[in-house]
Amino acid sequence: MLEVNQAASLIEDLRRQKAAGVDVEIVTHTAPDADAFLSAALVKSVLDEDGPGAATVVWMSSNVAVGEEHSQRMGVDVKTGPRSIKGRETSAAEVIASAIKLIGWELDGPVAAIVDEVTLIDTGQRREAALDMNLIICSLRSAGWSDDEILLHVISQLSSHMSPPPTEALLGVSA
Amino acid sequence: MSVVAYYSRRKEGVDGAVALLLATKRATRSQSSRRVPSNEIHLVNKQSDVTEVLQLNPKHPALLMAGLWTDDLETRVALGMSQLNGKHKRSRIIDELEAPGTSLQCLIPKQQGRRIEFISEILRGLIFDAKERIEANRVCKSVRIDKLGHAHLPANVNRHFGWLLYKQGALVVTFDDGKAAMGLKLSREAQELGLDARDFEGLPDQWHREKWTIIYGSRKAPKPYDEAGITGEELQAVVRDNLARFHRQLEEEE
Repeated sequence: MLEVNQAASLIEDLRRQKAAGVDVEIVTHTAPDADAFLSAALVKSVLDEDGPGAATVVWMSSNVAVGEEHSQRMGVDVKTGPRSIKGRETSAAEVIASAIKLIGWELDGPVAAIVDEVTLIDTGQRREAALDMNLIICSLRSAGWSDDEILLHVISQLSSHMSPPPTEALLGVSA
Repeated sequence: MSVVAYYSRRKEGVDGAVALLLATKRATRSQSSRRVPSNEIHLVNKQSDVTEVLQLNPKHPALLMAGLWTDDLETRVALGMSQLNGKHKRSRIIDELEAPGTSLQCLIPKQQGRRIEFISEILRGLIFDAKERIEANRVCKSVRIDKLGHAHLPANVNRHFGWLLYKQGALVVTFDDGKAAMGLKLSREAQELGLDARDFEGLPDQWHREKWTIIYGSRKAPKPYDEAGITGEELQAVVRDNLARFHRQLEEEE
């Protein structure tokens, strides 16, 4: 729960900064796997809901934690730090999804199902599907898709299953 | 050359079959057509105007039928229809592409044309990976596994294919790709025997250790290869020493 609260406050912080015109960044690791793609896609979807501009996803080493010196950044599925989430006991995607729900977003069944699957992958447990998100990503990469293309596809498919909180609730949070 | 795969929208699961024709380059594009019977796909060569009619069996998934049209081992392995040695097996991949669940259901586009294109990209990647897996299997067959249960993966084989050497009896597989990563991985059997990679002696402290692996550098966390602290040959010697010690302990316990 500690990580969920940390993630929620980092997302809210980036939302406020972005609204004020700061170029915000989501850091995740190079050679991204399902957890990195999904957690980055979830955060970017939330941040890009409000204008202006769009959050940038930055690919870095998974060994690098994001510290307070990078106040415009948030790390997902990278080393735990003041501004980065690893999802130690579960998956980063599970932590991020819980944090997003905590700030009032609704995630439909398909998003919950994909988060559950990625958590099973990340914790080395058996999945129902052979063609799970990791294999889908590997296949797309082998077919020549770049990491940015895969990320954009994931975001475009998730967006119809994510609903922002009602405006009144947002106003309450801002206040 | 332009070859169009014409298909009927009425045929359930036709997307997968058309996607495979695109992925294997038998077709260069696809288009739905009301004139095509639901259990057929028409491949029309636009230059010669020759039409090849492919029959689908209503009792079987369309993608399975499309897989049966080819003898290509890479395609069959990619679809999960064949093992690396060519033996047939039941394919979960085909079942899941026919009726997508979980991630695939969420990530697959709704619009049919885009869905076919997306599935063909996945199939293209699966075929590429199957080709790599078949080649790795061929190369690994000539790898010697010593009496301690150690085998070293050839440098041109991805370390994720270490399981091919476990299948041949290796307990510990070492790898060194010569540019980014080196380390070792334990087979499930080795772990069940009580071998724990965290107990290995003689390896640099900065290497990442888990119960089942010790690794320096990776694509997720790149590190300077030259700063690994030991060479690939030294790594193999250290692993052999540790395995010899482990076998002595096992004998003493017996």
